Amino acid sequence: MSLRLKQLKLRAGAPSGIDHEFADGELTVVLGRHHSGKSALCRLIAGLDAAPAGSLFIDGIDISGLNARLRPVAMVFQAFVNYPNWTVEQNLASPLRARHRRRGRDTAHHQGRGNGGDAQAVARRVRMVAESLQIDLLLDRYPHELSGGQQQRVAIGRALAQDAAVLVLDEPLVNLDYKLREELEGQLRTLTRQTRQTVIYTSSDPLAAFALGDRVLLLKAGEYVQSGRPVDVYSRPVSLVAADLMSDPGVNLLFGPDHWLAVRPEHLSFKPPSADATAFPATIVERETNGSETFVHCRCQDENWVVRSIGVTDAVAGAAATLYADPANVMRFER
Amino acid sequence: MQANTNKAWLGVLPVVLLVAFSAVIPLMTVVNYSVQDIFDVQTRVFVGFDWYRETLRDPRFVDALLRQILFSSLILVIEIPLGIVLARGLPREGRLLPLLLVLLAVPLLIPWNVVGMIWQIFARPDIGLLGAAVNAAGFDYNFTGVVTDAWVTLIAMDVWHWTSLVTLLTFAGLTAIPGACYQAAMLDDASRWQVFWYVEFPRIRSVLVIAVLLRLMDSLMIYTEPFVLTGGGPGNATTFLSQYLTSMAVGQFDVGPAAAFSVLYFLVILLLCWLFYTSVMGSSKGPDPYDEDGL
Repeated sequence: MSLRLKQLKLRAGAPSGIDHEFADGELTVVLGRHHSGKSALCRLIAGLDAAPAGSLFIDGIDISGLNARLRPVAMVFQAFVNYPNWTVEQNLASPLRARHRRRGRDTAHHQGRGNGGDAQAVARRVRMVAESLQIDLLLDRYPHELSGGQQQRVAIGRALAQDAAVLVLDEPLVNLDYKLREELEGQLRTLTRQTRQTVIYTSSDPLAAFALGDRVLLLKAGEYVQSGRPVDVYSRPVSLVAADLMSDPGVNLLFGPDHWLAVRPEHLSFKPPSADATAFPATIVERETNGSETFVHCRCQDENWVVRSIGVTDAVAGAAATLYADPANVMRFER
Repeated sequence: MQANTNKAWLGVLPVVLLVAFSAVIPLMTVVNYSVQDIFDVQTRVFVGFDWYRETLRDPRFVDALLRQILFSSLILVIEIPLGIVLARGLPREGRLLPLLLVLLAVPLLIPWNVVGMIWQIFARPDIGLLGAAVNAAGFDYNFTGVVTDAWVTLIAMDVWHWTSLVTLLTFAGLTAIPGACYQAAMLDDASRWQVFWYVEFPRIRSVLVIAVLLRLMDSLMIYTEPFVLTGGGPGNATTFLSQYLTSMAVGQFDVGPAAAFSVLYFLVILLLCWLFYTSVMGSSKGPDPYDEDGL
């Protein structure tokens, strides 16, 4: 199901609201730095907070006034949230059992009858989710007996098991180490493609947008910046903010009288890529390498610049160098 | 290569001396007294376990012990749940919170005999604010004359004095729980009771164990407050082990029996605390949930 934001303000007093549609079955990475309103957006969608202004629609139905527990939205938090005195199996089943209880309450006369079938359905669903997240061997364990990655898998599993129309993941992998993050990212992509849920995934890392996102939505200080396919947003940023958010490390800047020039670190090189390449005289400050790529920190017209190049580059600190970029890759933004 | 010497033992010596003088020697002195009958400095007779046998057969010791256990159980049953309820009722932030925390801490800062004095005056049936008010309301209340009144007053005093400790400990435990846990529970449609039992309780469990242990130990040793409030009366109705021991050791100067009594008293406290701790920790499903990569 699609989720539409209509003039939604992430915080009271924001100058403008956000209009955006999260298309059915797509994974959108919401990208922004700290305090950009990513978490606020998640909380508004889940219904944990009331929107200061604007409304939310799921398949055209206004859910703005709907209580959090009645919304077809599941949420995963940055902290590993599980119930400590329940096993993994009980944790995974808990939202389903809560739903059955609720349904039982609402239609009390149906209760005694459907429970056996329900219990079997819940068990099947739990097993399926556990298998897809590779925690099916841990079903009898308690959360404190699991590693961080496994705990977050259980938390993600609790959200997946609900089979909600919209799945919100608020920086779910930040607390995990790099290797685990990559692995879980891959699994999440496969899983959400299978379930065809509408997924909203927040991050501050542009790599996540490329790795996971069908779409990307950029936020800055609670305001909408740009959205679209990650590659499109990367190659055609509407503003300096958009270019910077989709770049890690950030874009290299030059200040003109009425404009900015911005070049991404990966578009700079020490040799001219073509005959008409733009040249930037600079001084090398420092070099850091990890073998596969090298970041060379320079000073260019009193600005700090970073060049990212493939492999190990021999750059000497203090030496003068000329940096080149293809004119097509030099972005110009009016002030 | 260095020759293998035993010089490292010298490094341990300060600790050995410290422990010896702070714990082992004083305790063994008491144990030494407890197996002798001492008439004067020169005349002492080894009597074996006679004093222990005598103490255990002494109905006043047994009564005081039972009173002690009843008292500890009652105050735990009241203070722990009350402390949790108060801690949950405290606001998590805001300007009111520091004020409330200070107010809660006030009873903990009052010297124990002052607490006894306060309640002694507060509960006096003729002029005390509480005592006179209760009598004016039509209840016949006199904590110096009626056994149940004495007990009620004593327990009220302890609850007033120590519930804050449980509240503050529990509050510290509660504030360490990430907000996301509550929000997830809210999305799962958990009731207030379920939030407590499934979200909060497992995460404040270890703090509660400490709170119970502290209150259990302290209440087993209670001396000053009942000494000032009731003096152990009416009759012996509120005479606890420590008071009986004092009257025996200081009042009658029966060093031998008092020493045996002391050893038994110490063992009772040790045993009860050990029983509590092992039963709670034994039934726990593994380590603290905050451990390492736990929540």
